[in-house]
Amino acid sequence: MRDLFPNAFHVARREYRVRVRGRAFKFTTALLGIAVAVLTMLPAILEAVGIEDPPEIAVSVGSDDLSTDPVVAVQALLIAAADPGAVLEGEAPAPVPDAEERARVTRTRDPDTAAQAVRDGELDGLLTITRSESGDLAFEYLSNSGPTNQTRMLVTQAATALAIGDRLERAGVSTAESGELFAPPDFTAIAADPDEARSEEDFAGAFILAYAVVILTFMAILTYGNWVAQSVAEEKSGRVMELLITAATPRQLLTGKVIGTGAAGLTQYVVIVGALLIGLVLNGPISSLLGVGGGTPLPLPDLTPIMIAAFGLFFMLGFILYSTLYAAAGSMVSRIEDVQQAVGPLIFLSMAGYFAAFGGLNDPSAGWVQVLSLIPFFSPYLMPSRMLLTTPSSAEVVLALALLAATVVAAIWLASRIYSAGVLMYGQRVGIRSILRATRVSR
Amino acid sequence: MEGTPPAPVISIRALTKHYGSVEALTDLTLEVNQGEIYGFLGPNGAGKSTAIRTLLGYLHATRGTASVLGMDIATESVEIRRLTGYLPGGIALYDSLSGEQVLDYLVDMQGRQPHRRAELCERLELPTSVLKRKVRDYSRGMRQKIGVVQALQHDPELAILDEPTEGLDPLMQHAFYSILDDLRREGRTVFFSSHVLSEVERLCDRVAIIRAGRLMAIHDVGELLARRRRRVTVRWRGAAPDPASLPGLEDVQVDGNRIIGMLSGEVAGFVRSIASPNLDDLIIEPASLEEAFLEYYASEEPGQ
Repeated sequence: MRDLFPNAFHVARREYRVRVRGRAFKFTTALLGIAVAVLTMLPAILEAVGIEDPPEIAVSVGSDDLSTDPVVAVQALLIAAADPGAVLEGEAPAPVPDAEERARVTRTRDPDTAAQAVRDGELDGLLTITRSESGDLAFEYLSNSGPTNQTRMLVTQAATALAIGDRLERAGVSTAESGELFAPPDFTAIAADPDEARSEEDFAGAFILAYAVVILTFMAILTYGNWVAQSVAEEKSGRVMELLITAATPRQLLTGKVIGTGAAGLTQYVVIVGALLIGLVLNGPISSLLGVGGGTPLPLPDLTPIMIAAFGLFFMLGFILYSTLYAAAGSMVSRIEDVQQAVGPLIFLSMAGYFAAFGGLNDPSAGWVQVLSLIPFFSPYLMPSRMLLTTPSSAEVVLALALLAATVVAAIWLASRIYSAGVLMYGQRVGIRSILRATRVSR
Repeated sequence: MEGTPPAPVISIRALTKHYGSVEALTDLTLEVNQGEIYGFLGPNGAGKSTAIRTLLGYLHATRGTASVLGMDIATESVEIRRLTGYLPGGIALYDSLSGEQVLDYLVDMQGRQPHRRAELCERLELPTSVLKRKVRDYSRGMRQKIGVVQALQHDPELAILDEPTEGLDPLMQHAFYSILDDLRREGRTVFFSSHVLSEVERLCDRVAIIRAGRLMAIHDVGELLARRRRRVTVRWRGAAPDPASLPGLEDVQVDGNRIIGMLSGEVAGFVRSIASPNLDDLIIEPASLEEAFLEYYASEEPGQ
């Protein structure tokens, strides 16, 4: 690290300025910022212009001996996701203030007109209930929605509840009794580790945040790592490198480049995240301004400052680790077109971490997740999600950070050797062997 | 010119660089002394750039050793590059910076003061208006000028310049030569490559000639010029004397009262021998170094 700094700083400053002042940077940053802000407000805006209409369903009942009003039952599920038992007891859905905004279920006596309305797109669905020869209830749902459509799934649930209630009734069980049958059991989940006890909303918030952390880390590494590789390859193929290297050492150039490009990347990042936050904050006021309900605010889990600091460290170290290696990869090619090929293994590695983290989100205390969350190339993805979803011991977190930091040092050492050997090798394809040979002699 | 020869600034011993089976440079041995303007001459592709880039640690020698400013090129290349003013052949600069920003950037990193920049820019006709423009908009010649300025702006002890006049118009070449003259006067050492003989003749104290990666000869330019043959035309009033009586004159043609021949060696002896009241006219045409080289090669074709 001998006299790394004045020059690495000069390099970083130039890199940062050129990058941030570039037209492409300004344009992309502004575009992404606006896109993110608009996206967060999109539901409110769509609702206001009426694209995101609440579902409207017509029910045609071909049998008049139903004990439960199917309209009420479907409405109950669509609006309040009420439990089927309550539905069968004939309880009207709990009054929801903006029920009208959420779903409208009407009974129709003219199924043909209603079916045409569905085909014309005026209605979202038509549920036809008939009694079949066997005496059972038969349901037909006419709509344009696929099997994963929320409304269709709720309608299916309502149909199931209606059919079972009807069978029980025919078997001589009264509606009130069948209501009891459907009541959810008294089920309590108790966390073995009292530290892990948390409310479900808190967990949901943590889950979403963990997703966000993994995706943002992945995008930062992929995008800004690529910037580093590209700009190294540009300097090399344009032969500016030959001049630069008279003034600064390869290690100074490498460090400066990673810092400068990283800082530019983070600048863009901060703008985007800032736009996201502004979007979230403005969501409420804008929704009420537009006169629509707006989404419920995202429940954020409790974060201690230490946790936030740890996330920051994992992100920075992971970012430096990958971009240092991206720089080394960029120094190995002679033509800019070959950069993608050279960074292939790194992309693969970061993808592996990304997918592992996604798998890990569903089962954060699995053994393999615990092991991978300590391994340097994966820990920037996995450890933050583990910290959000479970409570790894602080020894584990510190160990993961220490391993990551040690790997960063090793990567800088290796990368600056590859870089000093690579940046000046022109014309020849740089293979593993020539790199190894060059790293032995160069400094 | 010098008294006792000081330690050489550049010392190259049997330097060899092979790319696979391609022998870019074979057994180059030469020394450059302090205060010398040393020309490194050869046709394109002779291995000049390979030698220079090996000296600066950009390439690793296959065999042989060399030292620059007393430092070994294999182990101390970082320091060598820092202390040497270097102009790469076919220079590339950051397009997105202005000429001035490029110069500032490099001098900042070298941690030195650009003492000579103002003077160099003036002599090479790089006004502020040009320096403020982006390199992207520069012509080939402007880039080359910036390259020369960056190599010399911090007044290095040693400058290694790869084809410095490439892309400069004749006027600017001239300005560059006069800059080198001044450097010599100040005791700086310059090692530069060229494929233009007249340039070397004009500037250098010594010149190494390289061809196909091998050193052909090292010459003291003064000596070479002294040794070269001159075309001599002498006219007498009356009959010409017997050509055999004229020392050092070869390839003699007698044309009435006129003798034309090639004179090699000292001029003084010849002039004394023709001095007579009958001497009507004497023309001694200076042979260029180019002719001297051609002669040299004609007699010593590489046959090793």
